[in-house]
Amino acid sequence: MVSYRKYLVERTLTFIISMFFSITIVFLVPRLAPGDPIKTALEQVIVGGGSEIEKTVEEYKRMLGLDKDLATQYIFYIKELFRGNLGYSIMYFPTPVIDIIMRAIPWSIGLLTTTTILSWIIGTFIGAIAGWRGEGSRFFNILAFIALGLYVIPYYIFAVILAYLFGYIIRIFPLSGGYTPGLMPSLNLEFILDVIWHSTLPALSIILSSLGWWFLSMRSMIINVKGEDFILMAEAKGLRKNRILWKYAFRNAILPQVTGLALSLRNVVGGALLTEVIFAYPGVGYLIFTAITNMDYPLIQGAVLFLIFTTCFLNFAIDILYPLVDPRIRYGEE
Amino acid sequence: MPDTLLDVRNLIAYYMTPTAPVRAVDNVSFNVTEKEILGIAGESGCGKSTLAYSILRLLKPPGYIRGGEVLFKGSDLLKIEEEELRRIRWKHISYIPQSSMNALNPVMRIEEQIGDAIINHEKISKGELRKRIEDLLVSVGLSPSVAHMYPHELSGGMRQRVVIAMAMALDPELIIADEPTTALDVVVQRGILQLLRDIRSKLKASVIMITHDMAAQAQIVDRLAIMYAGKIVEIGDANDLFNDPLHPYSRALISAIPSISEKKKLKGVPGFPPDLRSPPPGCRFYPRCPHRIPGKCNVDEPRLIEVKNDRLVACHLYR
Ligand SMILES: Nc1ncnc2c1ncn2[C@@H]1O[C@H](COP(=O)(O)OP(=O)(O)O)[C@@H](O)[C@H]1O
Ligand SMILES: [Mg+2]
Repeated sequence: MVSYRKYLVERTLTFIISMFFSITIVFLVPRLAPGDPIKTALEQVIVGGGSEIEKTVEEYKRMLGLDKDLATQYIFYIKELFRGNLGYSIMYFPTPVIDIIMRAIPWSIGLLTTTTILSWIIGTFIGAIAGWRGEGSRFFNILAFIALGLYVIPYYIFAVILAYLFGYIIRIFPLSGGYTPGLMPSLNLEFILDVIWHSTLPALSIILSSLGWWFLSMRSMIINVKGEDFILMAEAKGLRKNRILWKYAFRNAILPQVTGLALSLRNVVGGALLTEVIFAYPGVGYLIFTAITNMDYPLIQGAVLFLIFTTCFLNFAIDILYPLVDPRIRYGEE
Repeated sequence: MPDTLLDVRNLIAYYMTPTAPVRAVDNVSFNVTEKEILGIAGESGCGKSTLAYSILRLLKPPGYIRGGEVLFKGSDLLKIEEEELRRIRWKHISYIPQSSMNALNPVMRIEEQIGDAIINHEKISKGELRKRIEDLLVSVGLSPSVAHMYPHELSGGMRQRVVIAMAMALDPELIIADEPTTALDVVVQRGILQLLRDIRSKLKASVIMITHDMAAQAQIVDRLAIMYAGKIVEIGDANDLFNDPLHPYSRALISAIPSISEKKKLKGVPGFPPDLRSPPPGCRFYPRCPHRIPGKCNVDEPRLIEVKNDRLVACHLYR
């Protein structure tokens, strides 16, 4: 247990240090950038006289603490961060940035959790059967080849292909948005179905891109396990092939696969930013994209920081929980 | 004359390799009668495990059976339908593998693994099944609580006992034990041998007991077959064979048994076994044989013939 405590301290320090650097960089970049981002941004939003803009800029600067020196600003910034205040959006003024992010988060997490799990289930089961059939089955060899293709192609390529295929050629799925505009977001069947319908293409593109990996890893795991003595023993016991596959081979091969699933959950927020952009899906990725195109600095800063934080935190959480869950590491300590 | 249970005839099993096949089991014939323990001894690599896999039809690629028959109570195990074979396995022939360390499924409790073998072949109530598993564990000297454990919670010797219990679960007619003691340390080995000797008297089954440990063989077998480089070179009554080995290889092997009383130096068998991809012509023991007859032994392959009552030898010295 001593080594685990040391590991815990190490991970925690890494987490704190990376967060500190991220905050500092996110704080500094817009301030060191040439020009006055606030003025530039406001000039695009507010039509009208110069003095009006000057006054608003001054107002903003005071609100954001930009009239102070850099060190004071930095301390203020961090203080506000700890209170959960990420500032105010410019394009949705005066909505706090944190509120906008909170609205986008469920979309990203919902999409990625669902697709990760679906893809894991499909890939794992087909992979298990493919591994069990072994290298001798032509059908499954072709499947493995396709899986390899899916695995090496970057995920956003699928989004582009699907968008083209279904958006222009077979127009059966909507090309953008999370739901039909005008529909009231609520927990009724109509809205849920509408969301599923809108999510089909983004979901499909994510599933396709991760399916190959789950398939290949499960397949090779089963092929490995097949050579184990306890499989030979199960066969000698006269068990049916199916029983040997599911009770002996699968149950052993699934352990690393479950680990893989747990580890991949670290990407549930920022795992498909470009997919969201391509399908104008109202998650964090698309939020950052619109914030950038609108030069909404506080929103960009807030969203990027939030993304960094959740990703770092999920990594941190998985890193410290993993040794407690995986029996192999635990037994190693005994 | 006791009934023949297993009759192995001209069995040939090779391993495919890029150069030439490994002739691991090359024209092996022997039989096992009811309730007898047949020992199979020979240096490591002479094809003992391959022989066991072949009899059980468990040989995996690149291994393949090139020919021969494995007649179990008259029906050829190598030819019967998969489904029929499945029903014979464990119910009639069970198996104790070479390394029982890995023979147990790491993610299943012991009771589940023994139970799996039983419910696969018999209809039995839950209560009876539990009772049966506990009795089996007790019969191999384990506590009934082992039933609820996972393999990693058991020592090597305990796992070996579990596998032995499993092999006896369905009262099979034949048990094939492939080096059941080699992976264990000496003290545990002695315990397992004691156990095998104990159950030997209670057992109604025939046993094929494979080992390269001649001392272990000496203690429990009725008949003994000596294997060399994929072939049986001598087979006969165990006592008789131990006292009066005829084949030069058998003599070398038996005189190599360390004996505490005589304080004899362990000699081993000088030389190395041949590469089974290109075994020497004639007698395969020729290159190492102290009594070889040049011009004969390296030309003519000696056949396994009866040279005295219940003793078959494949050697040109005896004709
Ligand atoms: N998968 C394999 N491929 C090629 N040769 C093999 C394979 N398995 C075993 N052999 C060879 O077959 C011979 C017999 O092996 P084995 O039956 O395991 O011997 P034993 O059990 O008597 O030690 C050995 O020479 C070994 O090298
Ligand atoms: Mg062996």
